Amino acid sequence: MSLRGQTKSVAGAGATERLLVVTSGPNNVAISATVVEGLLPPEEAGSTAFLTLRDITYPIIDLSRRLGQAPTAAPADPRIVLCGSGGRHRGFRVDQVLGLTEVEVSRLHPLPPHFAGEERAWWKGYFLYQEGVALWANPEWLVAIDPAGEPPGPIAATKRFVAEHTSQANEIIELEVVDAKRAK
Amino acid sequence: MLKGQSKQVGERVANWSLMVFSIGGRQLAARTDEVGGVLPWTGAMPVPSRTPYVNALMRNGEDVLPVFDLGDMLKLQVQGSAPMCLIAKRQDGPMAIRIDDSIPKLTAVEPSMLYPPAQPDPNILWHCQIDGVAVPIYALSHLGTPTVATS
Repeated sequence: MSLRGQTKSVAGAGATERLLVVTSGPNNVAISATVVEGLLPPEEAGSTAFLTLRDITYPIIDLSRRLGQAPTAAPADPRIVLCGSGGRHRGFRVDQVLGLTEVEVSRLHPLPPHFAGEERAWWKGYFLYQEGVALWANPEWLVAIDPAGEPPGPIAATKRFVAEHTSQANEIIELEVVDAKRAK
Repeated sequence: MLKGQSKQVGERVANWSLMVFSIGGRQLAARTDEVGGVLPWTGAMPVPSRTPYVNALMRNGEDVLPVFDLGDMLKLQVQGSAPMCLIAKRQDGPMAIRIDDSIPKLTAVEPSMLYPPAQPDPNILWHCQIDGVAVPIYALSHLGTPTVATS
């Protein structure tokens, strides 16, 4: 159910990153397509804090809360974006999904050095998007346990995934990781 | 004559060339060589951030600048319906500062007119009198940097 967005090279162009761009309050937030596991209308989750889909339980929060902002009172076209990365899963209520976009890596810029705090771990960077700017969220931060929110639940399952070992070219290392799942 | 030219250059270097602008109606100044320009303010997108006073990005065409909220640091509200953007040449790169909608003025001040601030403030280089008003001269090149203790 992933969007299967991968960083890839397109003939005649440089490497690209496929990103899902959503709005949350005043922010355009781009989420790497590789971590997007689903998109749902909010009525499918109702007002519950958790959603279980295909044996994966997603804690659901407003993306605005993850960004430390007040939620939008009545978003026009809200959606829930289901994300998973590193064995963690989360769902985010967003105000609107603007679309999937493919951005050349050369057009993805790191935050200016003036941003010197922990936000550097939150944002992988930014890029020009439509008439404004979109912030590229770090997926590891996005799905991490929110220290200001609920504590992690009991460990309920293990999951295997394959990760590329970056230090040695073309070597694939299979890792076994613990998937923290929360009891309903 | 070369001798006369040298003297003029010497005087020009000795004087401080300043840009005087305002935030919340309060006059502030900066050295002109630390100002990258002044533009109309076209809006900014907030960036969730923990860095004090650096909390937005401003797009100007193909360029994107971090925004330093000097008004927030000084606890002043920018005035006017069409605010301006002052580009500060900080040592780690340019950044945008939202200022009042009054057009900044250029002026030159003799070094003898400079005096230290009554309260030590590492963001302020000197004070000077302009039209009878005490105006702080802000150090844009390292405004709000970690080595500078912000209030």
